Amino acid sequence: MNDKPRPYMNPYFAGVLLGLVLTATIFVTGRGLGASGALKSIVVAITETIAPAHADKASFFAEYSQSHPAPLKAWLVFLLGGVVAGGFISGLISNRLGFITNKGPNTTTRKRLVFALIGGALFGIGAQFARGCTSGAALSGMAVLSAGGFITMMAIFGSGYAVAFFFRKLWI
Amino acid sequence: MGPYLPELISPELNLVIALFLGMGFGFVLEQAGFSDSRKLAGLFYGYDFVVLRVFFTAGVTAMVGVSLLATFGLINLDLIFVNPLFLRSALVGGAIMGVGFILGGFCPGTSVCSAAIGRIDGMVFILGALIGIFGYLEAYPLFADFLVADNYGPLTVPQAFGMNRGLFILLVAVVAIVAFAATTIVEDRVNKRPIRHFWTQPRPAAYAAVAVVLAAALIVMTDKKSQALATIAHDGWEVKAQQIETIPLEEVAMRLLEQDISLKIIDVRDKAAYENGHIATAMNIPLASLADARWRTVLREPGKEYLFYGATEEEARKAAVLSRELGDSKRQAVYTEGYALYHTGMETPDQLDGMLGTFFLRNGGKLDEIAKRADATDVAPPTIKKVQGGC
Repeated sequence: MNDKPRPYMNPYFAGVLLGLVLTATIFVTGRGLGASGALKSIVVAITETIAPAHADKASFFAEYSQSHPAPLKAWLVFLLGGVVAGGFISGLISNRLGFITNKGPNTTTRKRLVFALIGGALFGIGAQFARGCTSGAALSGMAVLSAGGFITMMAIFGSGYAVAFFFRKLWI
Repeated sequence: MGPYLPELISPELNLVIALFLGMGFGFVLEQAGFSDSRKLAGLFYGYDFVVLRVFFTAGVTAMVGVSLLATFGLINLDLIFVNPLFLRSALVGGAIMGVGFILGGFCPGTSVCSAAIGRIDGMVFILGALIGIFGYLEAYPLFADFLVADNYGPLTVPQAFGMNRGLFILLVAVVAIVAFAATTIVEDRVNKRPIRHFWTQPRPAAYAAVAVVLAAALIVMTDKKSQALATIAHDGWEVKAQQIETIPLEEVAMRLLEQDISLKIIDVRDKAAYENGHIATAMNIPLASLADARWRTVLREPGKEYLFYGATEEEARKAAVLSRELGDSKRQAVYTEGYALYHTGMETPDQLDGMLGTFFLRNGGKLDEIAKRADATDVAPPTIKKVQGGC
């Protein structure tokens, strides 16, 4: 494909659209969007498949099944499936598909991927403590004016700014 | 009236809806540029504030959207999931995620979106997130106590500050607009290009204006429930109470005896008082919970007349006014003497004077039978399932 990628959508327009998707989600389902919940379901499913004996023993899994009835788990996984499909369609029509690693100008691909792995792990852990990630806790929480959502959001961005300086070589 | 889940939509359709909502979510994230980790990290280094713009615009849009739906009675806020606040774990979790954001360049939703268009760093981030979650689950017993510390429950910010919902939304919208204006200048400086001020960009400026107007409108428009509760909390409710018909005990007892099924008696005292004894056939809806969504169908049956009584005349009248203001049945009435007079009539009718005493002497037995029959066929009060949350 020789076509250049199309420019991105106006961020404010995208924000309004995203806000409307979120409003519709709350209107229909009574809760917001989320991504980390589905990742957790995937981890639980993998653990139960590979090491069922271990999953039975670990105290977490029993509690998880209790607090997350099967329909909710399935719902979040389907939502995440939709995110994959929606992202792919968007990339397709805007000519952005391709196996590429995005990185700052002064870092190597290898370094970028190592840090992506560490960052992902931290995000995964943090989302468990905060009971949700940027979309599930911060954005959806904001929509329903949840104090927890606002506090989590401020903690995410506050801590990001606090450490940004030390990792500037990764991005600038 | 929304939300339509978990009860009003079949499980299969529910999953189809999840898929479509997810598609909308993923599509917009990708179109906004959230699939590129450089654009996301730009927020923290000042060269690209796209995250801030999309995030806050979406947040304000959804806040206004949800509150407008509630104002027009299209969604019941009581049934919506509000993330509970566990202060310590929210702060620690958020701080860990912030570091993860800088190192990884994504959050979970955006990494999935990025992986969907083939970005390798996005895929590696997801792998990292799965490993992190697994590690957390293994170590979970260590944090079990910490996780539930400082539980404030499903608290909203307006509740925490005792603030008007609309006013809070307006404040957030104004903060967002100021942040947009400031970061536009920062971004242009960092990228060494001529400054294009926020308010000179027609579309964003128009959105901002609409958001401010709607948020301001939300301050004055309150939803029916808050309005109704405010009516009985403030002076002047007595004026409304005067429009409500009062039924004396003779008539209440007469209609009970005739087994007039159009009369529905509501006892608005608390549960303990009700269980201690109540007028025959009365149903218990404590005044404190009368505005809850679950009672609406009970209080809106066509062709019924609702008779309220409480511990005091004021309690009975307030309940009737509240029910009318909430748009329940058009026919409310009050019985103002409380339970005591009826109780005397049933137990010691000779202490009552004249007609009333004679009436109870003659018919007390029948009323007792009616009461027993009603208690035996009592159905459990309706409950509504609250939506289960999140991530």
